[in-house]
Amino acid sequence: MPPEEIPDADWTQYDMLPVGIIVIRSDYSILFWNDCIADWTGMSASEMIGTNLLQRFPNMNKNVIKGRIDLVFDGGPAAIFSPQFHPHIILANHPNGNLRFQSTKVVPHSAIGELTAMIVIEDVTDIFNQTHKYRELKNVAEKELEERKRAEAEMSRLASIVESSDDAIISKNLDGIITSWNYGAELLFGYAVWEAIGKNVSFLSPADQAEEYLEILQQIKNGNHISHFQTKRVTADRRILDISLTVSPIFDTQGQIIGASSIARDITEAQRMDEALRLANKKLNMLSSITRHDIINQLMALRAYIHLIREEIHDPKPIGFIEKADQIANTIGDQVEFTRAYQDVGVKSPVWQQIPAVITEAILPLQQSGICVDLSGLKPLEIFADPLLQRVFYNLVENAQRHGEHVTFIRFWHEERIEGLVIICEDDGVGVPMEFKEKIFRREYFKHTGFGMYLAREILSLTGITILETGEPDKGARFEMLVPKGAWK
Amino acid sequence: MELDADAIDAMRELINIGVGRAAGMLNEITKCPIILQVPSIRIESLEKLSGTTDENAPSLSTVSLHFRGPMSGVAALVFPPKSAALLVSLMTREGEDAQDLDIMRIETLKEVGNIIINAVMGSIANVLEQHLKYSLPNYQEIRIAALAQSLKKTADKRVVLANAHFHLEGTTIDGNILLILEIGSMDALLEGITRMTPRD
Repeated sequence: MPPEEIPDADWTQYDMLPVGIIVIRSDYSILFWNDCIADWTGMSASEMIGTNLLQRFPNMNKNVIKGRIDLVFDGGPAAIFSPQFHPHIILANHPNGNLRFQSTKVVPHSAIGELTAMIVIEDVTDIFNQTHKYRELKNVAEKELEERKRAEAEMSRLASIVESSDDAIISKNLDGIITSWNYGAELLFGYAVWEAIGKNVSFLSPADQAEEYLEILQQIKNGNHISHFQTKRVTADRRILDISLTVSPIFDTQGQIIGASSIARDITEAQRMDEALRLANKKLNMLSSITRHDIINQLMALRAYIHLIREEIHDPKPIGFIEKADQIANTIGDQVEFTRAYQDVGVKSPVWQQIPAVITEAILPLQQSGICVDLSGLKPLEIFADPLLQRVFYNLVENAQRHGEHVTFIRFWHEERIEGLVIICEDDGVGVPMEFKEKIFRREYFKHTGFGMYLAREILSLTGITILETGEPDKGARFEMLVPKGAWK
Repeated sequence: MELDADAIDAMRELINIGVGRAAGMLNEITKCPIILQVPSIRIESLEKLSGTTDENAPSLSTVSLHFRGPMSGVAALVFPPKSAALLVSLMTREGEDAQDLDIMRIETLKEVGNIIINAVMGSIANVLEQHLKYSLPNYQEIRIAALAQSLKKTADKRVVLANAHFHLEGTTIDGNILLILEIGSMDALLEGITRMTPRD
């Protein structure tokens, strides 16, 4: 039926709706085209009515659309076309320039005495776009939530580490007001958390160090980190503790320093033990010194008597015995000398020492020998070693002079290798025969070269430094000292 | 009329024909291989299914369609909400992380439900050899008891419950197709099935 024959009263109501409405016959000829769809498509009702919908919109001629509309004409239920699967059933532009997203329903309808289908199209462009924005925001929020949960779990883990630590861990703001106080702090200082939080950290300092915290906080404000600072603190029961303090800045999310966290470790007992050890060493050294003095006195007397006997006796047989007794006396003398040298090894704590300065100092007494000592291959590096390090270099140079026979120069330099820093001492003397390369570092070898190399190895080994002789025999001696990583800078 | 094993088998066959057609249509729409199976159907009492006495019975994601005629009632595709969201996410290839039903996904679920219920009702209408009148499909998160209460007349105490398995993207999602009939409608359906079933 031509459109002009359809009574107006049946259709005008659909022109007022804000949805696109198309009524089609079972042959897909358009029976009605409302104002809304005309507005969206720019195709007027007079232009569309009577034409075939599938020819106008060939995209609808697919089984997934037409096949389902056909079922509606067969008496089936309404068909729904969702915007995710069928976003643009009727191609129509949105004012934003893109195609309108549509939610479409095809419902059975009855008009002009036959079964027709009404296609109802809702513009869901704004809902579609808002949903996508919402999804993006939700994804971001979920990721942030996930991150936050992870961070909270990490914080909880760290908090539990702090809380269960034996060390006192305290945080304070930049005014020194305590903001956190762990169980270790309660145990160490004897104050409960509620007693400590809110107080100024100076309440833990002895009266004569009450201002110390200000200097520490100033260091923190300057972005510095304080490691193993030894100080004293007072407990709730007025005991004075020796404390090793490590203090680090606390940053806010913008990277600004807002406070400091400190880890305090009680070293009172360790200090006492150090002191006891030092006293014991002192006593041992004193005993050793007295004993050595007495033995040397006795040895002098023994040698004097041997000398007198040698003058009185002319029979070659007892003279041979006397010579042997004299040799034994000399050996005893050497061994006593060794105790003098060895008693100081390891007594004092290792320290950082600048190598060229230490060598220069060490060789001062040996400079009259005419041997050229070249230190130009050494940078001013520092190594962590026993304070007797100078003795090591003295022994190396002195040995070269004494046993190198024709040494004219001694050269020191260093190399950085994967395993650490290697300090090399090389001369142009006779070198060390293959069979003695290791023996020279043994104590029993003193008969040939003294205790020098044995002592050198002992001194170096205290901080993990090794020494080897690696020179070519007849071409000069070469000693390599390997300083492990972390023991040089 | 009594629902004997033959009648239940025939009903299962009808529903399978419907879901087979629906699966073909969903494959075409989504361009993703979907296998839709109804391995079993059973007749459950409405009371047991809906948990009428249990106020805490869970709400389910439901696409439902009322129909009237020689047989009246409501047909519904029912999922736990998370399963419904997962089904839509897989069909639209949004990935398994998109696990909530926003308005766009609800629209999509309505279309999926529409296709499946229409196909099943098409099979049943063929058996009845009469046209039914249908409402527009509707999405609700609703308890089964409330769905039964939406019927104009009292619901039959028996509910046809078909397990529906969706296999896609290596995942299986379980849902149910429900047929809650008004009193008297079950007999109309059984009569139709009896007419269709060849006699020995």
